[in-house]
Amino acid sequence: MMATLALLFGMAAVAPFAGRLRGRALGGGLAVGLAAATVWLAVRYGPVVAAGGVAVEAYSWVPSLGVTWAFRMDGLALLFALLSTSVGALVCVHAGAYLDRHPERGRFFGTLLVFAAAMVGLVLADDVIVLFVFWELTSIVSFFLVGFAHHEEAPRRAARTALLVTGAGGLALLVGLLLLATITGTARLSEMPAGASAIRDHALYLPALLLVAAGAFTKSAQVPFHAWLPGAMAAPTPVSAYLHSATMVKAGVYLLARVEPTLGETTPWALLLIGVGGITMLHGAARAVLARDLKQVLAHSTVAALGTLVVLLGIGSDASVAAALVMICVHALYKGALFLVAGIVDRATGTRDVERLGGLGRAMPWTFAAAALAGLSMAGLPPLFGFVGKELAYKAKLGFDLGEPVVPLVAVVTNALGVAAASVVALRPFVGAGGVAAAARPGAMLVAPPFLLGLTGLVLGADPALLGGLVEPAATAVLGRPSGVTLEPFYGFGAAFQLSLVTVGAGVVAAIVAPTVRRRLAPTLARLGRVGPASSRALAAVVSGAGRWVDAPSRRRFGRQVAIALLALLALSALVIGAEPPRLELSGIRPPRPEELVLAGLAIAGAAIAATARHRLTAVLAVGVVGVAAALVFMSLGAVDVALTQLLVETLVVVAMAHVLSRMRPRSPVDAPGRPRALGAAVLACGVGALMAIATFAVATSPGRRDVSRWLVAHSVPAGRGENVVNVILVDFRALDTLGEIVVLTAAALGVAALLRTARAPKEAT
Amino acid sequence: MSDVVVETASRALRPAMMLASLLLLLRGHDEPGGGFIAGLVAAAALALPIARRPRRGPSSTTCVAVGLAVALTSGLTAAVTADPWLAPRWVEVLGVPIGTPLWFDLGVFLVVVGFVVGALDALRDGEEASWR
Repeated sequence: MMATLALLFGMAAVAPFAGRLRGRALGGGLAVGLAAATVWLAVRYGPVVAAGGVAVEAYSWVPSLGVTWAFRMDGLALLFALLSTSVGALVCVHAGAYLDRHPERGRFFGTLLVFAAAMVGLVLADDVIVLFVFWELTSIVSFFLVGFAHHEEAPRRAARTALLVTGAGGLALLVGLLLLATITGTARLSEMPAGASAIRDHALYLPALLLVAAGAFTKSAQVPFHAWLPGAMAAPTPVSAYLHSATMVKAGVYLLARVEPTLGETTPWALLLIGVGGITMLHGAARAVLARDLKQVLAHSTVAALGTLVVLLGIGSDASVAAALVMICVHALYKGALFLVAGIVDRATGTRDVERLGGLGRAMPWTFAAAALAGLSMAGLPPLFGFVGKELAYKAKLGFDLGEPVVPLVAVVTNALGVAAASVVALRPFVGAGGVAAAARPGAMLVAPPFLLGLTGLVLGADPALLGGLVEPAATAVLGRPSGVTLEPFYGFGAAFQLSLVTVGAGVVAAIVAPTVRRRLAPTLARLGRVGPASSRALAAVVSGAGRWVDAPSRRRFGRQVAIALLALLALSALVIGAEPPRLELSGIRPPRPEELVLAGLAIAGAAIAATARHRLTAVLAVGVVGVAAALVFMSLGAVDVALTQLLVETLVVVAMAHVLSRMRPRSPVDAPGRPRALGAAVLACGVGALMAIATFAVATSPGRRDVSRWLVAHSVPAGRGENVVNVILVDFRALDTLGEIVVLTAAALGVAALLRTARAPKEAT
Repeated sequence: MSDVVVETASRALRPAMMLASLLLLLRGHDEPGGGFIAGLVAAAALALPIARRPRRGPSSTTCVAVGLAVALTSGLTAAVTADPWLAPRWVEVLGVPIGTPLWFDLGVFLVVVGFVVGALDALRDGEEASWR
């Protein structure tokens, strides 16, 4: 498993450097790698998993916290891993042709491969921390992929919104996972179900459930966290086909399936999932039919499909879990194909507006075939795989007595609207006449992947048992026992079949009626669209408002901000000190030496001059004096390294200030503050100074500290191989802290570079 | 002081300061010195006011990024032997001990140099700065 991850990350590392290859070659090569990974996973782990076994690879990571670098391959993991790599391979082929001469194709493929690796790592993770790391990695990589066309505003905004929503969900997930780990006493997901009955009665069960569900719902675009998915359609179509149909949005569903043995089979679980999923199903289906952009139709129908999956997992019966797993595969196949087709249509005609498309079937027969196969699967018609999935889903919902008749009714309505949406996306652009003409026939590399996906839907529809060896172990992994559900192309004329008939009938009606309804509702929809993703708009407003307040280059405001920060510091410290007064060891104080008095006087004089100076240059030089005095104090106490650093920093700060001052009038007077403000500032300054003095004194005289420094000095030579304790601490004993510091420096450097670029941009525009 | 005097002095000082910075970096483990200090000295050397030709070579951002990469990789040798990351590894080359902490210090050095030089360039050139 780790070998597969290493391969994927390795390909991701190499891809940007191969950016000069033609897109087709690059995409094709990476597709070969992904296909090899698929085959390897299937061959190596398929038999093991089908026989009911698991494969585990675990390494010690943070033993003190009970965290292991653990991966576990069971049926569920294998299903998702194979889905990710196989669809990834086809997407790479398509993307290779899609981005054939794109100047940044190297970066694109590198990022895409990182995402594939992150997705595989996510489903293989067995430790909650490992899961979280890969979860967040998918969110971050998705930010880069959605915002790939970063020169335009819409992709940037969409990427930010997606990151904010999924990132916030990720934080909730972290807390939820940690709660779970605390309740069950283990950080390994595979060991948690053992204590399941104790968990369900635990006081913290509900918070844990809500937090984990929040993570899953944000990632899988459930209402009310769904708005980021339609916005993410600003991504290049291959990205949408990969992330927003087959992999990333399914991660939330995967998570719910993974924790089902631990958190599931309770009333809150069922209520939460069925409720949220049901609303999502209806909302997504309705928006899908009323949308005009091909990709928006697909996005909203994805939301609806994810809602269906959540409902099925909420029901939690053997039949529904099996149905959910089958639907995951079904959806990936047809949605991926349809997204790729949408990209081809967009490329060929320059538009994705369903009202303007039509009659492309003759110019693009293979694309039409692919779209037709995928569309039939989406509509749930035999003999395609979608029919099998829908039948299983209906059977599961009909078998859920508590939900009758609401749940099956919602399902019928959703699926009927889904049939209509399928006709909009897969039929309308290709039949009829009078649409925008296609510029050229799309090449084989563009069309073959969606066609293969559609064809797979047909083959599996005719013989679903082919997938049995994959679905059954996955269901067993979730349920803890075999599901007993067999995959057949036809389940007879029972209640489920009758529902299917009703669905198709209603769907056809909806398809005929939809254009009229769409046109009638157009103004209302436009107004809704503006109010639309209210949550993300509110969030954006808060962020930009805060940014405006912090960035405002105003002397007075800056002073006010500093004052507020210091006041907050004083208030918090007063609380802390009041709660637990520090014990100050006054016994070891010795009287100051004469040189220390001189240096202290020098520093105080410098500070006083800086505070009361009337010219900027004087103030700058006075601050420099304080710095030098501090350096000399360090020197007198024997801290040579610290003194050297202080001196150098002081010098460079003076150089920097000189640069800034040279662009102003150095003798310009500083505005003298009024009496009350000066008094307030003086009081605040004295307060903070006293606080710092107390804090320094308390820390310097605390007994524990002396033990630490004694240990460091004693071990500096034998363990650190260096006589300079300070340096040994920086680069050896506490190297991780130093690493954190230079990461901060790097971030600051990038921030300054970015600021400079935006400051320059307006000038370049003129 | 006229520009000519400052310029001539800077030309003489720069190589000397770069050499001093290198010495500080290498001797840091046993005597006062180390990555931060050496980086600041080198940055000061590069900030000396010599008549600027367009600076060739890697940009400040590249310097920072390379430094960070160096610091990160210094921990990987330990990972190979299943030790905690950043655990030190030492070898003896001709009687001189060389180890991963020195590689880490080099990374710190590059980050500090890149950042300070970039910041000073930005401050000096203002709107015409290109963060080179």
